[in-house]
Amino acid sequence: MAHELRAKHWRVLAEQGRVLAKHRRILVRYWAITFSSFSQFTWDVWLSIVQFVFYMCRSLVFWWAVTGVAGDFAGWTMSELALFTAVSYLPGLHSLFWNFWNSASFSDKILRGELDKYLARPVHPLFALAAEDVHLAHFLKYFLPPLAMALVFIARYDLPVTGWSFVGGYLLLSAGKLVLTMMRATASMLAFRHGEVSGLEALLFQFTALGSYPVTAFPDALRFFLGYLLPAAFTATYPTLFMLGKADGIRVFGIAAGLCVFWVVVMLKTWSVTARDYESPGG
Amino acid sequence: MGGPVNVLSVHGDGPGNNAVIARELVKDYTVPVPGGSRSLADRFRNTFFPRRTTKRALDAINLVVPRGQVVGFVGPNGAGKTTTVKILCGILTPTSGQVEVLGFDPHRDRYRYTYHIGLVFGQRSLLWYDIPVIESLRLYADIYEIGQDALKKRIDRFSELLDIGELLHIPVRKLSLGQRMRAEIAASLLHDPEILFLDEPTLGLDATAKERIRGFLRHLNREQGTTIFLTTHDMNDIEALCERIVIIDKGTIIYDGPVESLRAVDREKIIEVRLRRGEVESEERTRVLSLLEEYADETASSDPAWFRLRVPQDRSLEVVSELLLHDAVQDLNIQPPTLDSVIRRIYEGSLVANGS
Repeated sequence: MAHELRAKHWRVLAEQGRVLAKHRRILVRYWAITFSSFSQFTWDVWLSIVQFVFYMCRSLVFWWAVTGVAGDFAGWTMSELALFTAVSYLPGLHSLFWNFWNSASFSDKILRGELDKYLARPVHPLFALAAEDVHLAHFLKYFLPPLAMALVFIARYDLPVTGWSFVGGYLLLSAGKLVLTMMRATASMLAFRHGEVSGLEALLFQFTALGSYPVTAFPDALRFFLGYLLPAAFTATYPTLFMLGKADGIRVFGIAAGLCVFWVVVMLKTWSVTARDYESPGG
Repeated sequence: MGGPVNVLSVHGDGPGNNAVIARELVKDYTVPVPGGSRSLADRFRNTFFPRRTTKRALDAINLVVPRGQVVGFVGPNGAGKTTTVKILCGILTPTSGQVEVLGFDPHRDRYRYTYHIGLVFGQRSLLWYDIPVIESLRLYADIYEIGQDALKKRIDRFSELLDIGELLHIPVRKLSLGQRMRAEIAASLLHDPEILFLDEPTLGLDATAKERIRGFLRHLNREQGTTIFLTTHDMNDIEALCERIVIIDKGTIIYDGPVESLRAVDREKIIEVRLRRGEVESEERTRVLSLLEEYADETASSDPAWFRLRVPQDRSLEVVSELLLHDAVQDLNIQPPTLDSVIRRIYEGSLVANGS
């Protein structure tokens, strides 16, 4: 009996391994596809990079003006704010394969009945949705300019940032942006039952936009809100503070990990409950 | 890939020989209550707490499709065709009732089940718009776990049968509709599915493209025994491919039987009559016209010299004989009703079909 159970256990593990390997192959294929797609629109990509650099410069001019008048901003010097600006434009690692913020909204896909092709294939629909949004080339497009800018500021202002603290800060930022993406995905899933939820998504986005300012400058209640409930503080403030050696690493990483686990569970549970109500009438 | 789920018994058929078994299948959708002349307060409340109601899309349908059969599933817009296909594919969850396809419960066993089915939507592309067709096929090969050698063989086969060889390296957005549809079909059949669901696959195609696709589907069914479940508005698709037709209207199956038997439901003959020109005032023409008006079909052409009559079969000889007596009649053509006209009359309610 025990032998049979063990054999069954190994069979299940082997099956799961096979499924994982398959999904890994699919992800690699999507990456290959994104490059094919990317090469069709090279001119557009260069224009986007120029536009992106312009946005960053606009933020820098804003902080330059603020610190020019006040000397610093809530304890942040101009050099730190320059790094903060570059960091705030870095995309999270998850946007390599999950880009709900930038692509057509998930709730739109639900409402337009565009999940059909994912549901009719032997692949997890959430994975397929995420993988289809793979933008390795786009990721690099958005990743390289702010990275270059951050490195220039670190060198130019001689900021106390080490390689490890930079990587740690970036992981923290990735975790924060992943949590926000999962929150938005979960909110989007309400479209299965309640139809149009773009208002709710817009509201979430409005609050997360506060993350593009140093959250430490805000009142305690808002800091708590942006640190734990809608963790926009993890999109730039905490990562930059960690890079500068000004954040309690154990605390911020603990919060980030806890939020990630919590929202993974909430998102998957919401999917399993709400996807049953998917309606896609008509051809 | 997993064994059968619960065994259903509809019309005494076991699941072994049947590709599809649906029993008392119901699907309800929730839709907003249409706004009328309600008060301002009512409208305000409805903005924040919209009222919804249930609309029944499928009303307890029963359906059994044996393996290897080609079934045409037709009905007017909004009848429930696509909803049925999507439930059978595992895309939608039925509100109640039981469904079993190839021994699987499509919704519950979705992951394992979808290895065995192919799906083509005429109105929705399953390919990736900006990339060459071959990239989409490679992606599907990964999804269905098809090895490189098998993939190459299948692409070669589709290149031969569907003539897609030259399309493989062209981005989908640059293909014509007919070319895209051939590529869609190839992508849907890459994994050799046992059953193929086609939702209006010839929609918008020209006659040549339609015939090419029909020819391929006939070949597929004959050579590989693939079960084909086809929804369409084009009765030529049905006549060219299907041995059986199922008509659905308002979520209920109103006919289920052989295509030929459906044609026989209409016990009328179509007689087309062309009158000679230049004899408008003749007394004889007046007599002919009174006869023609008695049986004239409402859909007849506006050409004053051309008439289409719908005559009961038992009176057709009599009417033809009488028409032939008149010199005013230049030409006459007798034919059975087209499948298109039979279906149209069923939709309109002027004909009642009693399927087997």
